[in-house]
Parts: sequence; C-alpha cells; structure tokens
Amino acid sequence: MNKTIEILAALAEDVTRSVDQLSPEEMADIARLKAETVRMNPLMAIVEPTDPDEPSREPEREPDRNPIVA
Amino acid sequence: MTLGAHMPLRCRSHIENADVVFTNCHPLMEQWVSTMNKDTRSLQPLYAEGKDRRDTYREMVAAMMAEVTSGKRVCGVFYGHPGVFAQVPHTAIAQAKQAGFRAHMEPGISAEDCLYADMGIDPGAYGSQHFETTQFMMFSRNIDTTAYLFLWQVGLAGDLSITKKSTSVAQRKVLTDLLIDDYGYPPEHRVALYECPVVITDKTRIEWLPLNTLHEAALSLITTLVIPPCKRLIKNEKILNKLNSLSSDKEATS
Repeated sequence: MNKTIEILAALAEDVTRSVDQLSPEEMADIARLKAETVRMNPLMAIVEPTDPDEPSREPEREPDRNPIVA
Repeated sequence: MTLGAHMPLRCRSHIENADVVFTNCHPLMEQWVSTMNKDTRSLQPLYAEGKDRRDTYREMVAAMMAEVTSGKRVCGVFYGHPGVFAQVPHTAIAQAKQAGFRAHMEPGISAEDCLYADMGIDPGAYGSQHFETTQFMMFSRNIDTTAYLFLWQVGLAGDLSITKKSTSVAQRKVLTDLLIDDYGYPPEHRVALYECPVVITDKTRIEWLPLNTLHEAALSLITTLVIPPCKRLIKNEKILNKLNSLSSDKEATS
C-alpha cells in the first residue's frame, strides 16, 4: 500500500511525470487503494451562531514562527 | 489538498520532526503523512453519524493537548489550510498557549487556493464573499451580487443539528430559494460545483448548472458552491468626483 502512496506522491511532486506513464498494474493498484479507502470526514467548521458582541479574542502573543526543534 | 502536491516544505519538516503527529485529512493523505513520521495518529475515527460535531472537536483538542502536556512535540495536520473553516486547530493552539506551551500555525494550501487556480478565478477582480453554507442560511446577510459568492460545505446546507454528514433535497431547496427569492439571483443563473481532487490521478470537479437545479445536484462533503456575480458593478460617482477633485487640486498646486 505504501508503494502506491509513494507512486501517487511522486507523480504529484514531479511535473515531468504524467499519469499516462503509469503502467496498467500501477493504475490498478491506485484504483484498488481508492476503493479500499473509507470516506473522509472533512468537517471542521462550526455553524453555531457567532455573537458580534463577543468576537473571538485576539491572539495573546505573537506567533512563534521559528520554534527550535529539540 | 492533492496528495503529494500541496504540502509546503516547512510543514513537512514539522511533521518529520514531531514526536507525535495528529491528522485529520483524507485517509490516503493520512497514509502519506504516516510515511513521514512513524507516530501518526488519525483523528478521523472521532467523527460519527449522529454525534454532535462539537463533542468530536473537543475530543480532538483533548487528544492533542494530552500529548502536549506530557511534554511531546506535537504536530497537527489538517485538510487544506488548518486555519480556514477549521475550529480545532485554532482552539488547540489557543489552549496550548494558555497552558504555557509554545504553539503556532503554519499556513497550508486550502480548497480556496486550488479553486482559484483550477477555475481561473481572481477573487480581486470583482471581490468575493465566503460563508459556511448553513451559517449563511441562519443569518440575514447583506450579499453583494456584483461580487463572487462562495458557499463552503454546501453538502450540509441546512443542517442545524451539527450531527449530519449530508442533508436532504428539501433542506437544500431552502438554500436555492433563499438565493433566488431573498438575494435576487436569477433562477437560471449559472453556478458551479467545485471539488479539488485528493489524488493526482483524479479529475477536478467543475460542474456548471442553473441555480434553480442546485438542490437536485449531487453534493459531497467537499463540494463548494461558486456563484459568479449576476449584476454589473455600479460606479460610485460621488466618491469618484471627490477623488477627481483632489487630483485636480493637487495638479493646480504643483
């Protein structure tokens, strides 16, 4: 499965490659992977009323844009 | 948005260097992310039909905060831009900061970005307005029909329960009627349904249809409704005259 994911990623990363260059076996692997994959739950937004008198608060601090990796 | 294509280098570095990665993306994208970090955990199982999404969101934040407070370097990976139409990343960062930890958001490539590229729309050409569909329906708005109108999560139009994964034709018809009757869009006005492909081998969905058939169309959770302007821009002669007089004054004094 990881191999098929890697093929899809490589295809998307490299603009000199094309879907047309995939072998029938690779296309079949991709189709199989998609068929086996469960549906995504993309929902993240809320639909609750937002009271204009209570706007979301401003960030307390400046964004930490350059954290040091331990 | 598209696996392999739309991840900034800096985001990838965060994923690779985290102790634990939480994902809320398409399962194929989650598999891809898991190739970058062995401890990748999906938040997707926290969703459930009939479960209040606010509970799901609270559980997502709690899962991430548990690892943060245990001293781990935590990275959250979300579908599209983590800060656009997404409550959980904002809440998680705010809670982490409040608890004294360092936290920040990296911008991502959103469905909106892909839409502009795929549909050849410049949001600055006529101006643009964006709303979450059900919120758009719940509140009276002043809609500018000389600008683009983008309605997100249109597949959930009219879901007041915050528990559904789709809504009925009758609920969507309320949206169609709202746009036509209250906001004055012509019934035959051409609108588009847009979906960004998850994998590079899929095609982008750009389906044009008359507005009055919108409620009958096949809508998914990732469908965005694009409504082009239906009226021409009207010049604000009063302001133009004022600005022109300022230009004339400047030329006279120079």
